[in-house]
Amino acid sequence: MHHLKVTVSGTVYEVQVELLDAPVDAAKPSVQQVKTPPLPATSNTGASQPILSPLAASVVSIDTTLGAQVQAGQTVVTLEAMKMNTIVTASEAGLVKGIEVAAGDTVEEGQVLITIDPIS
Amino acid sequence: MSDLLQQLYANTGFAHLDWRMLVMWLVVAGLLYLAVFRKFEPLLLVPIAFGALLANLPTQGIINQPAGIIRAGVDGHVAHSLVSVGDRVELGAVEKQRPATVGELGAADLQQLLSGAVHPKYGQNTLLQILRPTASDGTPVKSIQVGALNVHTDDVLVWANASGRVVALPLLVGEACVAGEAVAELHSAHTGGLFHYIQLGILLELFPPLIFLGVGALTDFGPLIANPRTLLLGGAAQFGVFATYIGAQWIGFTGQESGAIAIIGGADGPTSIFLANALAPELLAPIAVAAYSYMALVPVIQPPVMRALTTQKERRIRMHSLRKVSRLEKLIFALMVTISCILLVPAASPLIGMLLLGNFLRECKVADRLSKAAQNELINVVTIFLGTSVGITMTGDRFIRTETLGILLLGVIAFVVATAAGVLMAKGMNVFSKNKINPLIGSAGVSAVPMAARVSQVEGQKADPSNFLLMHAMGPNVAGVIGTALVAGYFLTLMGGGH
Repeated sequence: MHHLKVTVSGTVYEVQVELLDAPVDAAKPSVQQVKTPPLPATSNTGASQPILSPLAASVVSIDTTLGAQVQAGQTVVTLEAMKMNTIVTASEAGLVKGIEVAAGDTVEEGQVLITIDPIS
Repeated sequence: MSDLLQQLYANTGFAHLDWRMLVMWLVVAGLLYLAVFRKFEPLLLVPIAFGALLANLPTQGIINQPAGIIRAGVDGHVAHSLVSVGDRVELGAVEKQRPATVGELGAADLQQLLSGAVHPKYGQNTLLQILRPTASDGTPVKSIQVGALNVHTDDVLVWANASGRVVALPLLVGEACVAGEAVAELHSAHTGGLFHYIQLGILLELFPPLIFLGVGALTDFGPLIANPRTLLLGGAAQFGVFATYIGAQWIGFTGQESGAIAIIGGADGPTSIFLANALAPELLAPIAVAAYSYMALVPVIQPPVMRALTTQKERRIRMHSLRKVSRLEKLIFALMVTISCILLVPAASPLIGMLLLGNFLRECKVADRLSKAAQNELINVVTIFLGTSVGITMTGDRFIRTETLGILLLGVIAFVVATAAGVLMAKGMNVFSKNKINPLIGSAGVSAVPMAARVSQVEGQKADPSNFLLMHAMGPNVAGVIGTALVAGYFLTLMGGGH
């Protein structure tokens, strides 16, 4: 786990980065992946965090709404695989900026489910 | 007046209750509690438990077989014929386990059956013939005189399987018969009960492959393709099978019976039934019940073993897909596994073939309608039929016997050893590898598909809610199915089932 300070257009963000090919750390990463396609600069940030699907599944429900504020650990999407519901939680607090899937969709492992603008 | 009341009482079901049924009601209550309130595999347990309740009530039109041809069970000759063409046969209201030989039946019951009166347990005229086998099975034979008949203790009994009229007795007393030859025919206007027909799905081995079609459509083999060494964990779990084989022999089961019992440790219902049929047909019912109830009880039996053998830190190990697996790779994988597994274990063809057909439908992305039907409607319908059919074999008469309880106990041991072996194997692999495996997926090597994989996922999330082991556990899970099928093939070759 690495603690980084990132400055984007003069605003300073603190992010934690987990290196996926390094020996696995027991603690939870706060940011799952940093390497995302740059989003159009609409709001006050360029550091939108995608929440990725952890496994191939179908989407049961989106448990948040566009623009809603979410806490770290809050349920954002419910997925179903092998006749079992799995819950995907927000990795950190922020505003829901984009919802990329809808209930009933089939998603692959690693597919973006929603994106969150972290609150700094 | 009191005569009338007595007759009314005899016509209700109350007269046919016995204590074994009441004990089984408690077993049913226990299973329903686990399913409904503790949510242990309710999709499987509720149908099994409800089927078991039906099995332990004096039902009509549920399990009775249609009248038809009765076949000899052994090579030998007809020693005595107890009925004539035209006689009416009346089975008891509740189906009872019927002894196979004179020795098991006993002289007193035989005497009562010969008198032609209604036997409280077996009904009227239900014992059709007595066959004398050509070859002895090794147990010492005693000759006994019952009424006018001289019988041997190893003489085989031919029972009626339904109420009706005897319409043909092709063999005369003294004539030779071979196993499978028709020795009597019954006729009746009744067509047989609901579950007589639904159960054919198990006897003809139709349900398990259809379930596997759905499981194939549910499974993403991507994590397995990216990290194929998890397949080895499916092999580790077979230790449970061999440990139980030794244990069963040690407490006095024969080699063939031990083989059939041990395979329960793989938690593979279809393979258990297949092997029991071939090696120890007389144990089929208890083995089927044990195998399927353990599949349902996977979430009860496995977690304590898994937790005892792992540390909190190990349970938190994250598993990542090592790379992105393309659609083409997944399609080629499905075809390659089909071809290689069927070449390796031809006996597993129906299961493996349907599993990978389901997976191909899923991964080809152009047959979504079929893939969705297989993983939803089809698998749900078949699960209802399979569960209730297994439950309906759990009659108290058959279940509450030391033999059955012994098999259940051995089944648990087999299961625990298999779970432990898988977990320890995963820990062993971590010693030699940089890319760590979460040992919780080791337990999925028992082939209860996909229950064992779900247990890995649930236990993993207890340690770390953002860890997703489900699809990683499907690798050992499917390898377990193939492994158990291989072991079954090995037992079959070793002990040569002559049935």
